[in-house]
Amino acid sequence: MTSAETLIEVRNLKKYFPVRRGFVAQLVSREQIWVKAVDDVSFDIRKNEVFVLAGESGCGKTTTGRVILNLTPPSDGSIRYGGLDLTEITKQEMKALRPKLQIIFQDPYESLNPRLSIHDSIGEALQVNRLVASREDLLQRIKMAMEDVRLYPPEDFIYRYPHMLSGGQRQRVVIARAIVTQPEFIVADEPVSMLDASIRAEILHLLKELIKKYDLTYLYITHDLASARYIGDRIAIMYLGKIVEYGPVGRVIDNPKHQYTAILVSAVPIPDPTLIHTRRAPVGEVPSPINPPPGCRFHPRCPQADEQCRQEEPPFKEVEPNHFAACWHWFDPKQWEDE
Amino acid sequence: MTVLEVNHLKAYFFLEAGEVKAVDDVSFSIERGETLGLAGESGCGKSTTAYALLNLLPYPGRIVSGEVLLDGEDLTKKSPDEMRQIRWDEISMVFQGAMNALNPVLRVGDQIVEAITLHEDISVDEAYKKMEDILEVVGVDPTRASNYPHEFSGGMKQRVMIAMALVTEPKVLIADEPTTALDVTVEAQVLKLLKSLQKKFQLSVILITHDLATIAEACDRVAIMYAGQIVELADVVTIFKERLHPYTEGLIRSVPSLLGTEQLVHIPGAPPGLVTPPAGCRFHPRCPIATDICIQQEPEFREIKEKHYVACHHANQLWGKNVWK
Ligand SMILES: Nc1ncnc2c1ncn2[C@@H]1O[C@H](COP(=O)(O)OP(=O)(O)OP(=O)(O)O)[C@@H](O)[C@H]1O
Ligand SMILES: Nc1ncnc2c1ncn2[C@@H]1O[C@H](COP(=O)(O)OP(=O)(O)OP(=O)(O)O)[C@@H](O)[C@H]1O
Ligand code: SF4
Ligand SMILES: [Mg+2]
Ligand SMILES: [Mg+2]
Repeated sequence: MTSAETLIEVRNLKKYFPVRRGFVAQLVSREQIWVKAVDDVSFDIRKNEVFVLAGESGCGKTTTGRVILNLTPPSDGSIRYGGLDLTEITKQEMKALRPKLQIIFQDPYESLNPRLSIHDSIGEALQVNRLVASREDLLQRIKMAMEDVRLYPPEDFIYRYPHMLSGGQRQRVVIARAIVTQPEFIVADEPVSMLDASIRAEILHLLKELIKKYDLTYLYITHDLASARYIGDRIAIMYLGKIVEYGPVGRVIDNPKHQYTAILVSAVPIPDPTLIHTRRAPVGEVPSPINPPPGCRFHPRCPQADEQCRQEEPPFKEVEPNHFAACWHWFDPKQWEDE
Repeated sequence: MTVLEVNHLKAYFFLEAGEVKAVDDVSFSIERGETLGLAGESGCGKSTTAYALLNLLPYPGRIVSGEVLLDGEDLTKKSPDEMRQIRWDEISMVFQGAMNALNPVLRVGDQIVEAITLHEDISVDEAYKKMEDILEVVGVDPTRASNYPHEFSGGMKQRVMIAMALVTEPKVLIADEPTTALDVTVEAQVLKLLKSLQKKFQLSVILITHDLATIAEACDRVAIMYAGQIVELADVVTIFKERLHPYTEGLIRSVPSLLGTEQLVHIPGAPPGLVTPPAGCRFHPRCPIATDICIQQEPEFREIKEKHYVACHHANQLWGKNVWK
């Protein structure tokens, strides 16, 4: 279903956050240190696809999504959307684009205004951007979006405030708010993390339907590879601020080539208490993004690391058509056979 | 030994539009050192059950009836002061979405130290040491202790909350979606941590989660909730292998697998409103095998086999069947 047309082009994107330090530490050294949350990532998102960004907690997924939507400026790099470079446009131009570019925030507890009723939360963008003709029209649109996300019956919820909803219900309000303006592009940051399996499947299905209905494109951020596979077209695996592997979602999961991807895939738990499942987990701790390791960033935790890995950063190579990995020693399932 | 026993608990929210019957006659118990999983549809009353156990329901919520016995003492009868003490010493809770309960203007490390010194009579230096240890245990680099909460990723904040709930070494831990923002590798670490603490302190855990893989991995018994009620309760293997309730069956069959091959079950219709829940069996409008009796009569929550409880009129005919075919 993906057409080859590129909607968003991300090039050499970096986002560093300054680390504030205690008084004494500052006396000892004046050098500013940085959290390298996103450190030189490039990728294209094609029109009408679901592009997945996956990886461990803290690897920079949310930061990437926020920078792409211009919610925070990048430290370096460019983001092209249609003909525009989002890092260079004026506030005015950005404001006009807002309804087209939406985000479903990771945390529904933080992203809903506690003083706005559900009606107003969902309806706000419609009103501000004059996308509705009348109050009835507004109410109609809000109720439709609520039914879409299974907040049912809408009358039970529409005049409640966020604190009167369960976690998953809040999450669905955040989704309704993002889709109600019929945007062109949505950054969906862990949009279904608080939903039970059954509603989750329905919402993912709905998000996919909307691609056709509204000509939508998604950046889907998650650490849940099973849901990524269910909804995604292409996937990029991030590790410590960098993309290490990307390609068609089924291929990357079935035929991972970066050592990190392979471990990540094998770490996915299987819902069966009778299986003694050998969940592999990367050994050791995630290194700090303040001083990422040289060479391949995964080398301190990688079972295959050698001298080259410790010193040289691996370039991307094509594993199979459209599937790329940046690893000096491609993963081979034989590696694990005699364990 | 039973630590906590919940009998016929009802907790409602009283809104102008009517009462939301979020917890409607819920009974279960939990043994020392045991982990009970609580799963079910979004909005079915899991968090409300947790709040009710702690006697902490936010306005306009109220416990309507029932009892919550902790070592034989009814918590629903305690004063707010008594409850405060019990919450420190005996029951601790990781709230859903708790990562935002961190104070935004205090450094993360200082907040943990505060929790430690409130609970324990130790020097500030020792408390800092302990804070760093516990951060390490939950997989957060202790050098990040001087960061403010907004400088942490979602998963990092969630791990801090788990650390805070554990520093007081409680008897019962209620953890409401404690691993939602965690990726599988950290999640495995946190679950392992919970297990080891359980052994060490004979900690009992109520684990609320929609993540069935977490349940399979971490729980001894499982309660499945639907529309304010527990519809099935059994040990974890029974729930995954010999479940009887059509809702449990549908729920488990709607989990996508990594292989992406199987046909997912789709439970038709929408979650029921809890102001006027359906009569009879609350699941009947969405149940593929509902009959007249399901519409007319509420099914009894009965023990169908030893320690396997189900609330379904047709449970006896369901052994080994997939009603969602
Ligand atoms: N405002 C900020 N100031 C300082 N550091 C930050 C800030 N925002 C994020 N970071 C750091 O940047 C890194 C990446 O964070 P990000 O939120 O992008 O991770 P993530 O991949 O979305 O993780 P998760 O899955 O846990 O949500 C983390 O180390 C985080 O602590
Ligand atoms: N303060 C409140 N006022 C009115 N209704 C409420 C309030 N808090 C919760 N509810 C309602 O009570 C029901 C149960 O909510 P609860 O938070 O217990 O659900 P949950 O099972 O934890 O769901 P989730 O998995 O989505 O977190 C929901 O239908 C919710 O809308
Ligand atoms: S009681 Fe009837 S409606 Fe309810 S689950 Fe059983 S068969 Fe279905
Ligand atoms: Mg994030
Ligand atoms: Mg909840």
